[in-house]
Amino acid sequence: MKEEIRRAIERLSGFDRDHSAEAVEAAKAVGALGVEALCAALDTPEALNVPRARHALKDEIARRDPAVVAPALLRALAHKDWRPNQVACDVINLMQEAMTPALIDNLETERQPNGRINTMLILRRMGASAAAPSLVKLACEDSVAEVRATAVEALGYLGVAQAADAVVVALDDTSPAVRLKAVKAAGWLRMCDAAEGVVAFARSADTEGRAAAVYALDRIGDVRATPFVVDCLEDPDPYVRWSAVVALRRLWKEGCETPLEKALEDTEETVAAAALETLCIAAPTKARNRLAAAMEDPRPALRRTAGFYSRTVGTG
Amino acid sequence: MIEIVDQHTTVGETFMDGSDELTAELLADMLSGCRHTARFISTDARNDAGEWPVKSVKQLQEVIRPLEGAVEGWIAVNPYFLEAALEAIELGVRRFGMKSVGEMIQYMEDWVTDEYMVLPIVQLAGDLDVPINFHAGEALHVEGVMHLAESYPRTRFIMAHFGGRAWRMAWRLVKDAKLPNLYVEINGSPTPELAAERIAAAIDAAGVDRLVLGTDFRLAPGARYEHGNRLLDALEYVKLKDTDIERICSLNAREVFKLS
Repeated sequence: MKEEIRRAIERLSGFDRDHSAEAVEAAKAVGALGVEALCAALDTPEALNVPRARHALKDEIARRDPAVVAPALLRALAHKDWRPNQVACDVINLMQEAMTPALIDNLETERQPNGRINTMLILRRMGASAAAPSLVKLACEDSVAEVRATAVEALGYLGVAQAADAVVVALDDTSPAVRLKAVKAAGWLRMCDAAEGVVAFARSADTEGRAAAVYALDRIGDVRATPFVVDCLEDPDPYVRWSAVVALRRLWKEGCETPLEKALEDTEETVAAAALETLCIAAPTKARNRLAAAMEDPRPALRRTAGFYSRTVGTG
Repeated sequence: MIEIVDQHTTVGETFMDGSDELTAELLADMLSGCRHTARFISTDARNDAGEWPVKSVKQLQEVIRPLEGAVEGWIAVNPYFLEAALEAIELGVRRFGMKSVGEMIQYMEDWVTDEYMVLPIVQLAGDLDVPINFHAGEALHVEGVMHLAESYPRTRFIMAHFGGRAWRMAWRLVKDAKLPNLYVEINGSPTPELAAERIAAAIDAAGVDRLVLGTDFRLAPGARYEHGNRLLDALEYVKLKDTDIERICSLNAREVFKLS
């Protein structure tokens, strides 16, 4: 590193947030020394201590040719320290599409798992659906579970059709974290093909997993999952029971009335009120007979829900 | 002159603790230089207000009452203090006529947007017919707001900041879901060009009828309100019709918050 660049970075590293104005000037001085100096600063977490100076460096870097600064930005994404990660993300966010090809290539070539993960996070934020083939590959083949989980999640958020096969594969992954992300992705992608796998996952999952699975089945909307969701009305966890009650609005079919009416007596007011709302939405005729009693219920959420629906569906 | 309704503002600490008085004159001073009139929906700026929300709501009412509707109340709650939160919402809405609940700030208070303890607050907002504003600055927040809005169709939701850094994801999910009870918060910062891209995306996602202005502006001594001019610059940059501009600036907020 040239001596003048080393000195400029050392000066920038010496400021704390109580000396923001001086730090910003020092950051601009680094920028005045050119791309090499900016890239060196990006490799030096101590030079990125002061928020306003980080913003100044970000603006300096974002003005440069993306092709020239891309290697340093990708290196910063893989850095173990959060400060280079953050500045790189902010710069890439400004450069947008100009960086997309380099980021996608980086998914294939980056050796550090956190580099691959951070690259996926920024591609996800950019909505870069062109990354889907590389994400599918990582979701199915990467040796690190956290990388596979991030890839599956990114595919769900991006909403791309190519994701479907990878999500089905991920539902059988050896890692519970990957399987949970696959369940959520199946919901976001409304994948009917995945419904069976989601139910299988839920049968051995913890509370968070069961609730996520029921919500995914709700979004998928395949009534073949309804019997499982009805079973979840008896789940020991109230969030799972609430999720099941809500899911039945979309997954309603004949035979749901009786278990749902039982849910009206749930010990949790939140679950019981949601059950009444589901009954009013999915089976209004049946609900009419329940509304008058619910309007006298000691639980305020039930009374208010009943009050609202008595105006729309009437009382029996 | 066009009216701006900014539904995401805060009343600064010195007004809340009584060491300064928020007067109509101070408010006019904050708005000097604006090419619009303005109404604010505003909450207690103190970060810990949600831990003692009943006291906060009472103090807020004392501060805004003399302003006769120029500043409407917005109830800050924290779901970790659920019983007090529900009491504060009842008090704020029923007795003081406050217009909204929020901003629900999960990232500062360390809870998950759609977790179980939040649900009674969402339910009550719907029962009392007031909107609830959730911070949404990243993907998990967006996901949580979508889940709640799907699950509570009678509650009106405002997705603050249109997802922040995850705005492209918010764009896709909001557009896909087309929920009639979900509103998107936009602003004009930092420049018309940068704001315009997000505003155009928000319109595509939710429609002109589902956009409201929110800025995090803090009403404080010496503060100048510049967000309205910036929003107008951005809306003009997008080349919206005057009727759509009026809708985004105030008509939507008047409807969703039931302002007189």
